[in-house]
Amino acid sequence: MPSDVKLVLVGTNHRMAPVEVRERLGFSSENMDSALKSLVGTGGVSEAVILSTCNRVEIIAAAEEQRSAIESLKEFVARYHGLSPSSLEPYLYQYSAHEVVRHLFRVACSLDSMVIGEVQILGQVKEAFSRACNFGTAGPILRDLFPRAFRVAKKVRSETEISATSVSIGAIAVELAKKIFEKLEGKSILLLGAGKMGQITLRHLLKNGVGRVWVTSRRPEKALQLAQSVGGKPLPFHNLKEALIASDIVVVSTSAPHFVIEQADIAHVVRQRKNAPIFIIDISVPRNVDPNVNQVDNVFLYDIDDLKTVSETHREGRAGEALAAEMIVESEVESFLQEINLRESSSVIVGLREAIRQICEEEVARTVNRLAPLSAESEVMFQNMAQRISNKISHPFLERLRAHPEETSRILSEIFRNKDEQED
Amino acid sequence: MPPGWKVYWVLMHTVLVLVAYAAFFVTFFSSILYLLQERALKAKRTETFPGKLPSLQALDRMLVASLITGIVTMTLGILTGAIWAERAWGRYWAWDPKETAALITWLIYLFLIHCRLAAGWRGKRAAIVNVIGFISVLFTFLGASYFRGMHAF
Repeated sequence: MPSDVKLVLVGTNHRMAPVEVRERLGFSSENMDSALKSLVGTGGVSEAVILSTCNRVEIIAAAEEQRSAIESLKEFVARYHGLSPSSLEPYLYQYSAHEVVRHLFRVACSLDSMVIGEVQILGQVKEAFSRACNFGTAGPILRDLFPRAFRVAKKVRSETEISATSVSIGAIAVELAKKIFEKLEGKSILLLGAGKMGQITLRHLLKNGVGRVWVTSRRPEKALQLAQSVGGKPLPFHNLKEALIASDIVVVSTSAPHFVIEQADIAHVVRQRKNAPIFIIDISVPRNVDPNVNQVDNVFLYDIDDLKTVSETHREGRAGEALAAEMIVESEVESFLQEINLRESSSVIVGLREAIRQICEEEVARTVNRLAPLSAESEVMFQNMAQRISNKISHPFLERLRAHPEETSRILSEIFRNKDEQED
Repeated sequence: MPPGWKVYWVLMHTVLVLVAYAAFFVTFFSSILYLLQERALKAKRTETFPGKLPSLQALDRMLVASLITGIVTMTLGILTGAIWAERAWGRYWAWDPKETAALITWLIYLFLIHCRLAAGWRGKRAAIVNVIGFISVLFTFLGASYFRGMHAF
């Protein structure tokens, strides 16, 4: 059993928890550092990375004692968000040891994504890792694991068609828009907020010929910058209502923790628009558009979970590619674990040789001292003899290590630990 | 007036009214599709009709075009009918069941066009009124024949 990887993971994703729950569990980028700080050191957690996207919240940690670490991670998530651990229990999943490796690889390869094959998740995992690196909570174990996950993701992308056929949130938004509007040319679009997913969605819509683009954000400088990058016009945030009245498609992706668009606002907007249909895509988690907005006639509101439902109908087509990707992940998990074991057993080999060499040297020195004065040649002969004895003694151990690395290295490290303890 | 004229008026009347019925049928059909598409989009069940239904906007356009065709031809149909009635029976309007039903249908559609232009009625509500309008069309076309009148045939 390769249970030697000292890894644990606690988290939730779009399958485990609806957006109502996920939006309460996220870690904002402002709070990330303090969260990481309070995480490391509690419950035997020695290293940690927090991954928080709109579809998942996960804490990946290294800990000596896995069972207690999982419990303390769960408690941390609940306590951090002011919830009781028991109320969260049904929404959380947990992994330990090699399961963590597999899960992280699958996440990085976008096999666990709402839209399989989407490419945003890899960037998000990289960002989470580099944040933990900068903050010093990613130690040797996670620094081993994450770069490997990135390589696996790259491999999956180059060896399978999974991303080529991917249907991203943006493409789904376009498809839905085409069910409402006859053509997208000349339609007015409003981008509200600076979220990355929002920008990606906007780009897809632009590719399909959407006309005028307005960009607004609570931070005017952000709106200006965004508008320049997507070729739109920045609008002051207090003009939101006028902008809504003049827009056919609204993409909302802000980091506001509350609703930015309420039902009453939209009812007014629709009257002003003389009931011309309006398509609102709310990609924010927590959501920024009151779900009741969808009940207003001629308004079509899709939040991130609704897009998921739509994307599921596209899933079957990619089943073959996903399977190929799963197989790559599986073999990569295997080889990663083997490498770790090999590295551990090779450190055992080095330790064993070192221990025997030390004993031999001590004994040779003692004998040479007793027999002194000795010629240099005789001294070398003694040393060589000791060397040969040490090699012959360690040979069967090494053979066995190669055949059964985990078991033997465990026994050997136990023996040598005992020896050290006896000497102390 | 030569007898040929009478035939001309009654032919005009019949053709125009039948075109109006056909147009209202297209309006009705578009409305039903609109309601289906609208419901699927609201309920996020877009997979039910995988790309088969036209967009809401296209359905709406079709609905308006056929509605206008219908109301114009129906107006002309009623007018030609009234003119012929005056020539044949000496009065324009006789309030027989079919005439009354046609007037109600005509008013329903006129009301709908008015609401659309004045209050911006579109989408689901307009589609529902269209369905009601078409029930009235059916009644005008078929139902009114049960009541005896000048249109009985």
